[in-house]
Amino acid sequence: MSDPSVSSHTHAASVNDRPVLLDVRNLSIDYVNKDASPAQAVRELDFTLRAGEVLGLVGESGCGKSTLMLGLMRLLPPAGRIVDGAVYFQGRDLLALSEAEMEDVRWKNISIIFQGAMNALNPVRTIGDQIGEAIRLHMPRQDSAAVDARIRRLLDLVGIAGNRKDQYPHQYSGGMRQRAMIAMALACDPQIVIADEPTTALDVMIQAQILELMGNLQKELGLSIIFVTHDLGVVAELCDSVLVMYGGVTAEYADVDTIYNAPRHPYTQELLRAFPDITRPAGKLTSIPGYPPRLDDLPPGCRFAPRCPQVFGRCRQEMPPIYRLDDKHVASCFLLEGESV
Amino acid sequence: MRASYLLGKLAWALFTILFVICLNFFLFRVLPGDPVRSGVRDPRLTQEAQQAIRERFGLDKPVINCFESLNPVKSGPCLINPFETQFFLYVRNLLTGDLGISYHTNRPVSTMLGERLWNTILLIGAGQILAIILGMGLGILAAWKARTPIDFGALLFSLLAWSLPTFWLGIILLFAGSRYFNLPLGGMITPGVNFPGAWARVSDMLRHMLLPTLTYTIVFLGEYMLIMRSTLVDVLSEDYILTARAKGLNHFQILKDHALKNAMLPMVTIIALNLGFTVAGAVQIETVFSWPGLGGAIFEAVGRRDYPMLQGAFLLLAVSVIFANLGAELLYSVLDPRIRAE
Amino acid sequence: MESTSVTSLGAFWRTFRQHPMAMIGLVMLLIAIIAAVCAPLIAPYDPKAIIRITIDDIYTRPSPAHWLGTDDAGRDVFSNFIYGARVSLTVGLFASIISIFIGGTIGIVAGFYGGRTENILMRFTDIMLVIPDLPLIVVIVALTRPSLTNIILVIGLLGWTSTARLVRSQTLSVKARKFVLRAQAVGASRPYIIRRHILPLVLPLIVVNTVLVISLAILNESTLSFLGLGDPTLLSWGQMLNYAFTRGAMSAGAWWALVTPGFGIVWVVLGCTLLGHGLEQALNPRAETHHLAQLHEQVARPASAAARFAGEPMSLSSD
Repeated sequence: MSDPSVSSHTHAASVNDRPVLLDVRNLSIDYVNKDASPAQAVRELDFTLRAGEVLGLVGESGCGKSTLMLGLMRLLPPAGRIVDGAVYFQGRDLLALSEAEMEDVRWKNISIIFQGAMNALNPVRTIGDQIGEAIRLHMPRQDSAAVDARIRRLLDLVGIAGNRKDQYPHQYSGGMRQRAMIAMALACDPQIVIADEPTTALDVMIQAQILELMGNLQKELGLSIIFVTHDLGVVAELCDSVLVMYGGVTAEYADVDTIYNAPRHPYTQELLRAFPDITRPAGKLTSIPGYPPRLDDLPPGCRFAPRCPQVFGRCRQEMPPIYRLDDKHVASCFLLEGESV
Repeated sequence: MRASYLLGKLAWALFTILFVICLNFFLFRVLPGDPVRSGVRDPRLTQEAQQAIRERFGLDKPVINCFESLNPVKSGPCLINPFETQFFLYVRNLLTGDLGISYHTNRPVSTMLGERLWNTILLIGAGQILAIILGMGLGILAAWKARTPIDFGALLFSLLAWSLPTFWLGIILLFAGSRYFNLPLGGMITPGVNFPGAWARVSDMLRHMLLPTLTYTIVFLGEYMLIMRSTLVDVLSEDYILTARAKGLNHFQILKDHALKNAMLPMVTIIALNLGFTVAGAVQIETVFSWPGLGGAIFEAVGRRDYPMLQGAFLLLAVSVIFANLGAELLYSVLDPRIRAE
Repeated sequence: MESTSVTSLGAFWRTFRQHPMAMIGLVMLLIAIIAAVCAPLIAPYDPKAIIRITIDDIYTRPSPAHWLGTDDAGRDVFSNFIYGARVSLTVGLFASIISIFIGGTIGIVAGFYGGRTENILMRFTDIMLVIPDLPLIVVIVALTRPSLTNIILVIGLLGWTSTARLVRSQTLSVKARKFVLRAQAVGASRPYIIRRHILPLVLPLIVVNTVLVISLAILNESTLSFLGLGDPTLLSWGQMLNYAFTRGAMSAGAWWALVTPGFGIVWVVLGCTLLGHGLEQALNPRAETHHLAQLHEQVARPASAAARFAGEPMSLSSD
């Protein structure tokens, strides 16, 4: 893993000139509770994704990353509810579509790689069949030979021999299942791929292989990827920009170099401090004390206040607004109040 | 499919059958009354028939080995040839398809049961197929609409159907059907009628089958619905259903292509475990509707103290259930690639 | 079905009270028990009293003298119905005690000791599970004398298989818990561990199962009596149906003699079923939602939300 501070993102500058694919505005998601008031899982989230951009979505578990991603695809669990905002995909508001129109967008335009591919694949259908299902659904004009050829090409792309397409998920290793899942996500040439912690539950060697594969595929196919992770190493290696979430809200959002070299939000700073870095001497590994807040029991002021090392009185009473620090760098902390442009 | 898996299942089924044969042999010789011996003196039998039974069962020979009628106190020196015992004769007769002579009709039990076996299979088959189809359909609906009034209504109906005694439901349907819908009071075909053609014959039989099949369906419907519902709710909570939704499949496609096959696996197991109850249902329904099947044979044999018939009917029922169970296990292994591919 | 979560009896009772289905079932059962115990106070006639009957007393319609009419022997159906509860509940209670004791013991021993013991016990259970219950019960009762004791014994001795399987899988899950492993590590004796640690956590499941075993025993008893294998000295609901069915209630149109006893069986069995189902929900609450469940519309933003952003520039970092 290269030192993040010197990592060169040669194409980072050009990314900002590409057209915007996805524009998320003020998105707010609740989990409805039968007896209590709704839990605020995501609040007023804004971000954009350009063609060919890789966005890292970072935060500890339970801070609303997965909810946000499922919300984009309108795949929330039954209790989930999008209460405000808009999601523009190529200028079209996904939240205004009918369910049938949305089914058309899923996988063809936006596909998703789930964590833990063991259960994300149906155990009683072959891998090839499950990939082919997506092709037949969204590219209906292909005959079975063409679908078959495409399945083989996709598997080849992720490094799986084509003749293993007739095998079942339990005959694949964990890493291979994740590769198959990636092949499936690419089945219909989507513009955006959401990778929801695709390497958790895999061992370190396999993780590195999967990440390398995704990096190569991204360059080769010019994919736009939203990479959900709590591993800052992954972010440094793959991403162009980073959105740091805490307790369902944006903590900081900037390009990757800014996040690594000039983080402004105390949470980002703490995350980087806790991030195991091989350039640092061993034994200085830290982690942020405490836990992320429960979404149904949020603190009254800033959601990070109870754990923040730089907390002061106002943080415990008021939610900090989002301050724009420069052209593409926003953060939500009272410490930055005077610097807003 | 792994051959050893199949052989294991087959060997286990054969072992179970052996157990049932032993049970069947000893029940009828050990329990008070010793029906085989008393049967020899049954006044309905002719002298020759009684002698034939003595020879057939080897009643002058020891029961199994050293023991006179299983009484260990009376055991003598073990000089007896095991091939000269009642148990050996019993097993040998069984293997040649000889189940004895009915006390009631003086005809071979195997012939009588053979006539009745198909009637039972017809009745159970029709009832099970209907119950499975309707029960699964209702279960799918209830699972899909989980936590709605549809779901709750289906649950209440199932619990009520489960609580109905089969024979009583049969009686009530028979009472109502024969009084208000002019349906036959029982039997399989109207006796003494010369049917003009095959179709008239079939339609008369269908009229006789209607109420017993309906009873059967209602009784088993509830349980299948409950199981289908809870299995399907489990399956629909799995991650791969979310994947299927993310792929852009609609609810119908997800149910059809992703959920049902997975939910079928536990269903097959439960249906197999239920086969014993199936037979219990047949005994009651065939009794109420005078349907000439194996279950009815058990009831009639009890009333007539026709022990060879009772013994034979029980054995045939038990062995059928064991084979049906084996069939279900094999079906399961075909359906589940995790077993099939090993 | 196989894996059940574990709760203590106290917490169990608190959740139980919140399940209306279980409460309704319990009330239905209590009514049946009260009727059985107070039968002489409720029933207008003594079913054992000798009565002189004429042809006009047979299958008379319901009337003020006989609320539910009379049966084939001119006896009061309502009185027989009340007394019939005694037989059903007695058989259900005692047969299920036998079944639960055998099934519980086999399940706990098999689950806790494991190895060859478990293998043999569960293989035996599997065999007994495959052999059809009712025909076997019929055969045994037909070969012995059909008395109340025999019926209870036979039903009880054959009704333990499902209990054994359930209790075994529960024991396995309890056995793997930390405090049991710890108790084993410090050398507590096996009977002690079973008594102190396993049993309390298997008990709630056994309670739920008992309710279902009782209902099965009652159904089996009534079927047996209906098939003519009941205790001839007692008048159970199954027996009443046997008499009515075989002695012309059908052709006489005496629906009261056919409906009444069956209603009794359904009442008790449904009470057990509701109680059992409710208890199971209380014991093992399941998440009843899934990926296709729809409780409400997923998108519920104010109408203004879509319009609010429509005219704005496309990206945060506008160039």
